[in-house]
Amino acid sequence: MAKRKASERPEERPRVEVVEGEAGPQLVVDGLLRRHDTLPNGQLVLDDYAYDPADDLEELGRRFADHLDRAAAARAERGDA
Amino acid sequence: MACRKDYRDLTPTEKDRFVQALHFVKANGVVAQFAADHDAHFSHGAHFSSHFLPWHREFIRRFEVALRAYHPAVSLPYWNSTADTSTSSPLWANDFLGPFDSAWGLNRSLGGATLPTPGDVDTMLGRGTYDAFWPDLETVVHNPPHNWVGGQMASRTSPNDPVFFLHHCWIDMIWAQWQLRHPGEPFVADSLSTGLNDPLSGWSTTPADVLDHRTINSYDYLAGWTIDRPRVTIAPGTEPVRFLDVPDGSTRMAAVVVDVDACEPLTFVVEDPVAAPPFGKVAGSVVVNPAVDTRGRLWLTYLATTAGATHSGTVRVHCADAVFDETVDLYGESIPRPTAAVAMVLDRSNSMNYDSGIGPGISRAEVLRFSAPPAVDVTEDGHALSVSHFDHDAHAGIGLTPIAGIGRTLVNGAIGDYAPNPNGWTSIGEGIAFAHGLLQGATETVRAMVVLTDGQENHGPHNRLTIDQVASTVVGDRVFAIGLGQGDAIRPEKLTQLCNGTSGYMLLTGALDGSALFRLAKYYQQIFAGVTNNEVVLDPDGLLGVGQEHRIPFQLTEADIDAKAVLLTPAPGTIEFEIESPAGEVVDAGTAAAHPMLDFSTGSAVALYRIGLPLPLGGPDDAHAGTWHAVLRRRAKQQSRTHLERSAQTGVVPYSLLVQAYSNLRMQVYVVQSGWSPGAVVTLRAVLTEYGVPIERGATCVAHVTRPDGTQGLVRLMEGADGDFEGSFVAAYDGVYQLRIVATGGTRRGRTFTREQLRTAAVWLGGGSEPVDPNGGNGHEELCELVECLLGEEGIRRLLERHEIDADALRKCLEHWCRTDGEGGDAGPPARGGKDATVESLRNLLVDKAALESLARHLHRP
Repeated sequence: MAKRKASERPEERPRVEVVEGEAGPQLVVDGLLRRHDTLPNGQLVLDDYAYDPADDLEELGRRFADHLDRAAAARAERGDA
Repeated sequence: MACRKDYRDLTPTEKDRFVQALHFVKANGVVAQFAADHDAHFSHGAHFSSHFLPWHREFIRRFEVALRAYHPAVSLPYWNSTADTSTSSPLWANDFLGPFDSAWGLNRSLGGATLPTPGDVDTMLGRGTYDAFWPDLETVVHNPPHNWVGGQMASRTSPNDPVFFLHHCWIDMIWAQWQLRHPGEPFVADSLSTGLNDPLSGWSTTPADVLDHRTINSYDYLAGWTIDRPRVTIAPGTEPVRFLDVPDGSTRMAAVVVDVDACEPLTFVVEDPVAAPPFGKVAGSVVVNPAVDTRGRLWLTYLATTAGATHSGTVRVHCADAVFDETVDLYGESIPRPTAAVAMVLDRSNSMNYDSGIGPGISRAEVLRFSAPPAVDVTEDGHALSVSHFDHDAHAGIGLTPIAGIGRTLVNGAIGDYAPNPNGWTSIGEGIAFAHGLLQGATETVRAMVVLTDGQENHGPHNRLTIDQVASTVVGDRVFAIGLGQGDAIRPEKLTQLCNGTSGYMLLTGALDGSALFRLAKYYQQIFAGVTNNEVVLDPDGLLGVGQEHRIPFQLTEADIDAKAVLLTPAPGTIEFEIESPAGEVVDAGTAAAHPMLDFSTGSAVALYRIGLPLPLGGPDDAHAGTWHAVLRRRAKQQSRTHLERSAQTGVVPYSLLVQAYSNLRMQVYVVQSGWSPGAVVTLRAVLTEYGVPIERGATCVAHVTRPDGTQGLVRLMEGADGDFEGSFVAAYDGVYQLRIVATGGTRRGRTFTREQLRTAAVWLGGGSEPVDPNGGNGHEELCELVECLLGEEGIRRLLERHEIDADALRKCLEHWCRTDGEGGDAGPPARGGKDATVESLRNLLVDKAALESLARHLHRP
């Protein structure tokens, strides 16, 4: 039986939230706080997803979620856990 | 300079070495440190700034340096992520980076992004300015592979994944390619702190320091890309090419040494030198492959033809690929062929009258008188020899005498006059000091002495110079020594030490018997050959019966300048001796007499040919390199005159054929013992050179070891550096080990060569400890002399035979006793008892039935 790809299971998409913290807005993905940093050009990157900068945190969260989806799909494609 | 190439082009060795180096730096914490550094500087110029490319150039250079702590030949390879896009590519295979995922907890998700295309790279390379190039390169080509790999590689600590470095090596190569395609385009800063001369985040290094990647590495670019021009430099300190102190008639090699900075092999053309001859080239075209060695050698030759002359010349070498064209100065200096002054120093203590073991009634002195003259006969004109003797004093024989004309006869006459002193002791130090004095006046290039002794230093009641005392005074002399007998009798430790310290060596004959007729003669031949710069090519022994013919092949090469074929035999007149060239041309005594480059002569126990090379013999080519033959034929028996000749008349004639060459192909042999007691390790080293440089790989070297019990073994000497061979064995048994070191191989022109040398090692029970009372004797000298005399009497021997006592074994036992303390301990001061006491001791020994029975039990014939 073929595995269903993660991207085909919208109910399993990472849940992305932007919350206000003491140091300003913070990105929370699936309940985990994800550190981010500001580049010299003003764009934002996540520590764990550093090579796809975005102009705002919400967009960064969306991209990161997409990346996690693709990663999960890739792993599923290869039969990894 | 390192060459960085596609990981798919790594050899299995390079690939494995790279993987092992990664594990090495991981274990040392280097990987974690690099990941932390990358994280720390990520947002401070390492990324998304005009310092992106120079920062990572420096970063991966530093990592490469760390990898080289594991192996200096490691270079970073690159991953071309536009062409190598499969998640099952060899990049992720089990023999490369695949296992790192789980082993290092990298959490990769290969395929989780879209990789750049070759078109993307082409687009980047087309950007005309730096500020248009780097941002797109970073975003379009650099970023996606990080996310495609995923896990650690997608994070700020991406250097935790080793593929980081292969990826950034690829990005750096694209920058290098862009620089090649846009020469002169300036570095453009994107901020006030990220300019050409601003330090890169975390270091004092600036972009200006790393703009030229050629200071770091070479790249093996993709097909169709612009190639960095290979760079070639003459190695520092190697110009001009010098050929110094080359003996007249010899050829030396030296090289134009080039350092190559390239990824591909380069072909160098060597023109004929200006001033050729004496200068010459070995090859007109030389390929230097930097994957094997970044240093290339373009060999040249210099033939010294006129002693004292100097020559200057030039040679042009060029390499089209590298646009390299240099004219290199050459300098050559010829010196006269070295000559040697050799002092023969002969022990004439009473023990030289003792039986040699070679045959009945043949004393050690007689063996010496047989063995030494052939070495004199073989020595070329131009050298000088002296003969002196020592007992407890030194005595002149003949002073340094040039070996030319009558000189050879005079020196051999002095050897013939040699006679032991029945009351003589063994003051080796006095003999050495006297010979050193003789050599002081020598004008020859080399000063050497050959000390022959059959016992340990023993001055008796006399106060004489010791070996220790003269050791520091023989500066400038090469000292060789020959011990006629066993190690425990001669105690060669100090003499060996003295020899080794002067670039000489010591040889021991061990116990002689009928099969060792030529041993002492061979020792003299080899030592004389060494000091007169001759190499031993071949040294076989044989027995030749009436009507028999032996054809003995030997190899000469183009590196040989002249050669000698020496036939040692007690009866040279009974053997027809001819030489056959590689083309089959026969040289006999008659041919030699009429040929200006040949000479044939005979001595009392020797016949020899001197052969100039190359040798014109009327054929289309002069005879030189190839397989020659010595042809020996036995004439009918003739009446022999001497003891040794008679000993040879047993239906066969023993002979030793010795081929020597004055040659550009040389073998140096070194023997070192870890001690003198059984169990000592004997280390052998042989160094082969051709034209003064180590011979190229492919030669083999073995030592044929004859143990004290006569059994034989083989020690293979392993090659370390080119031409440098070493091997060892344990000398487990008491006695003398005869070592025949034989090297075979090919010259640079592919000709087969052989080289041989003899050495000995010796161990004995108690070896290395202080000899008992070395200068005072053990107080039994008169008794020993008397017993020795009696045992030479046939009547006494028959008496012993009747009691089933082996007279020879008794003699050996007594000889041993006479050289050591008869009580088995330190005898203390000499207690010479006088003749009455001696006679009484002997009488007691011989009439005491119990003593005889005890002796019989020990010496009973098997």
